[in-house]
Amino acid sequence: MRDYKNFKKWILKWMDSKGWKPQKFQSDTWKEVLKGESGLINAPTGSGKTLSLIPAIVWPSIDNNENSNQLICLWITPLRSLSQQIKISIEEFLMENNLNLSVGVRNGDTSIKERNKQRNKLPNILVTTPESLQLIISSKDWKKKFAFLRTVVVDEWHELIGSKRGVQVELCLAAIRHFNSSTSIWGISATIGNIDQAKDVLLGKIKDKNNGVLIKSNIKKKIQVKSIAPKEINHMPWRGHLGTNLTPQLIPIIKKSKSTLIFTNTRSQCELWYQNLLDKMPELAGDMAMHHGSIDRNIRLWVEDAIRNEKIKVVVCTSSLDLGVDFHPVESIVQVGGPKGVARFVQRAGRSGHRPNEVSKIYFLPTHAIELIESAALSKAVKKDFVEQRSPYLLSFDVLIQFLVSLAVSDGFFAEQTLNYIKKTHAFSMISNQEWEWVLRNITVGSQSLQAYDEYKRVDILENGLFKVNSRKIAMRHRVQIGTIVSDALLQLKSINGKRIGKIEEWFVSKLNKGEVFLFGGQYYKIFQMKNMEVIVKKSKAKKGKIVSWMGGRMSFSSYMSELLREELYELNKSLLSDPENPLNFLTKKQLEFSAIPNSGEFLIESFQTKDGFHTIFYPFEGRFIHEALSHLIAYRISLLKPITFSLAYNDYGFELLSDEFLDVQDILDNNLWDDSYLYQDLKDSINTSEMARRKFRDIAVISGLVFTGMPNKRKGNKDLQSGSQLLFDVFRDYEPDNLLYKQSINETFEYQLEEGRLRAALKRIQDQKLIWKKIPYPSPFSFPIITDRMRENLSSEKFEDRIKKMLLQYS
Amino acid sequence: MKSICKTIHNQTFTFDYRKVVFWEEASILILSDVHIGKITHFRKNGISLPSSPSVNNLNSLKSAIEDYHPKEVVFLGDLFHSDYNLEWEQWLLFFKFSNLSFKLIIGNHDSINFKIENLSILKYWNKHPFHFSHYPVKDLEIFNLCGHIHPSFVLRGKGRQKIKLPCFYISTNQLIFPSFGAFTGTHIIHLKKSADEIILISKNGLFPLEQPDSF
Repeated sequence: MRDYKNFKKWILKWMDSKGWKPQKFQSDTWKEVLKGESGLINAPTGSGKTLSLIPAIVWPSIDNNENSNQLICLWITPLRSLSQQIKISIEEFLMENNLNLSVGVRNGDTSIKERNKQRNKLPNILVTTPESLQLIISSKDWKKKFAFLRTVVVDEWHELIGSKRGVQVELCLAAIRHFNSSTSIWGISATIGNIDQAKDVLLGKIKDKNNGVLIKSNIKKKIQVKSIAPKEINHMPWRGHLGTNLTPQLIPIIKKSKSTLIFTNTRSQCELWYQNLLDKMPELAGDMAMHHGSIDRNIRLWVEDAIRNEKIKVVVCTSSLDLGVDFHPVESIVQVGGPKGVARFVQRAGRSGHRPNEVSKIYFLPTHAIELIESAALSKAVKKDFVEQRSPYLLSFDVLIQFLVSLAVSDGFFAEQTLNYIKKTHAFSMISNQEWEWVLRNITVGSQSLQAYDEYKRVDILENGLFKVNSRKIAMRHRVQIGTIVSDALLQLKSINGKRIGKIEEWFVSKLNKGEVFLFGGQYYKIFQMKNMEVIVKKSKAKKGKIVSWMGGRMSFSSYMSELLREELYELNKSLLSDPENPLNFLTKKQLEFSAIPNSGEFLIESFQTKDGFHTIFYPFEGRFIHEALSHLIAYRISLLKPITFSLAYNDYGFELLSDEFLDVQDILDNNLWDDSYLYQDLKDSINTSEMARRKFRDIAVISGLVFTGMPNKRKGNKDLQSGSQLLFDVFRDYEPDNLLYKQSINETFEYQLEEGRLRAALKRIQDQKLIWKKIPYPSPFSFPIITDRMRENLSSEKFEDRIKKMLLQYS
Repeated sequence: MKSICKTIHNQTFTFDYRKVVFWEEASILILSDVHIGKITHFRKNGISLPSSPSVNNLNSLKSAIEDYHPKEVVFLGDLFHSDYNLEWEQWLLFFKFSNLSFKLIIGNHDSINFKIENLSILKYWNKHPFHFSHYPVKDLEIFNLCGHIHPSFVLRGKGRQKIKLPCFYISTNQLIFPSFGAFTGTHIIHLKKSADEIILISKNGLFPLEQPDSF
């Protein structure tokens, strides 16, 4: 402990000079880091987490007066935009303490020149992303580079744990630890429901035991939620997701704030709001910027700097600004549209009032009438101290395949040794020998029995048993594909003079013709030329054009959010009588006009007819993902009773079965529709062919290398290797249904998207509720956002050829 | 319906659900875009697709030949997907020992750098009254038989239902073939003129699209 005394003397002296005092979680962490322990720090953004680790990590270099050329610390962040900020704050600390250690950044934005420099010599502290870490592991002699690595820090672990990037990090850490057992691992996480598990997943098992310490900071933020409501509620639209009609109410808030962050849920909504504000408040030109993931890095960095230096007043952004960035407190935060989860909402609120004990204020701007209910639910949620869980992925064979090929590309790997350390990760602790053998066969002979004319080539097994990629072509292709975030093929957007503007998805471009105008980054552009992976555009003075959009995943209510929403809803009937001033009364009355608002013991079903067909709407209020599953399950169970075809739609409130014939709900209800036995089998049968599994498969196919997304700028040369994942899905379903990757797509649908446990609980709840079936002449306010949703799926028990015949008749 | 008969320029064409067309007077079986070797090409490059679909392609063609007894088989391009690989062998053997003759109108994918026994290779082919090509030819005086596009059509019905099916596309001066090969994908097309015809293809039959009455 003499060591700690010296350390403390040193660090306190420096902090004193700044007028700071260490917080308890900081000094607790220093002690553990100096002991060589691993652990997880639970602290919110902006609470001084960098300072809780860096001094103790660099201390041995000072203490031993070491001037090493080696990498001693890896700092992993989930977002590229964070790297720069972290680098700066580490460098500031080092400089003020006269420490001669270098800090470097390595991520997808790092220039080739810088990368080459790093290939020869890594900095002492490297700030990187999970993808770039795996890239380092796929380069020659990576073990040597990590030989002096003291600590790996995984920042914003809560953002990674519930995703496949988390699995990627788990695997990389297991490999690093296996070859350098003295490396300690530290995670930093905001509060999530399963924080203890988060620690165990990050650290993995050593000698079959969980280990490490969990250090909680006691910093709590007070949050105040204010709803922006229209003066007259009947001015609210019944559906839609834009909310621009509330701009007049937002203007005074922007005017009186020194700085405002406006969070939107999607990139196209972000574009639209930016344009909208500029139209309504032209004086903001020059004082307002936009920030989302597809805008070019340089522009994004500029925006982040500008917020920090208070050069701009307003930023319209997406989740791209959710994380870390430690800029000075923003005065007002606005959330446009439902944030879908309490944790995300709280985090966004935390962007204001950065100082401890300061109250964070967030304005909620609902985009349609029913979101007003959400806003009431959110205000209650932030008062209680509860946040959602983020469940880690298990047995993601796609990520494992990518990782193993990475090892094979670098120095090669031995099967048994690798299996041993892979089993120490949380994700693969349960991998069976058959599964492991399958994975190895997949990368060496292409998974099935050998055929006479087979020429499969990926990983070779050398005489000494080393698994190695020998083909340069395969190695190169693998490197450009590393990563677990899958998006549609991205095209580079450039202006005529060659300036990069950002990235745009191929499917969106494919809808545009030459000369057409679209809005991107707050500017209208006209398509000039499209070639290879580039779209060349000219600025346009047009006042109208298509708004660029991105596919991206849609978010769903968390279970906690759904519960809050239901509670709020059950109150509606009461408040109509007791609180005449309640702005929601208007909505309540409209809904009650023909239909009903269920109480906690009731379950509402509505039926009505429009020109589209016969609509049957169910309202479990369980969140979009659960509704997706329920709609398939119920449609499937009904389809067993008689040949029928449904088109399915769902949102966070309920789901719709649309059919071309009337569905007598009374008839079908007597058939144990909500039974939770045979749940797995029924769901499996219903989703086997569904879009859900296909969507999951798309990601799996890209991650495992089945779909090749193309080399940057060399797209033409690889066209003969490109195929859609849809096509692949069909081939596997028809010819190799026991393929582990195909099966994984179905398992993932169950475990992560459908959340079987939650689904079972929902069914149990519905079984005990009294069903209210309303046959109504018009769509009700509740049904409106659902029936107008264009993203739909089909489920049918009619014979395929019969369906074609029927549709042909309807066609003519 | 497994097949549909049509008269084009006084010649008899039988459209078959196996995605082939038999021209009776000339005794020619026509198909397009087989993409032989595609799966093996992927596998050679480290992409682990199941290899079985490639076997089905040849069997399907053999069964069509048994039913129609053509003298000649014409491929409208993209018979092969990429460079030679072992998947070609079964086809090369089939050409060699068959007593029919085979013609290939060369497509953008075909990269053949050696002679194939019993398969003559042409850039395009005129056989009265038709012009055979891989790419659809625009504004031609004579009727054009072609492939390349892999056409499919989205059928929409009540209750927001839709089904995508591969199809033959027939306009006044052109017949575009569906892609014959499994694992080739399709391109969605729309009806351009109301006089055009579309024949949809399912696994078990053909479905001609009836036109809504034009005014």
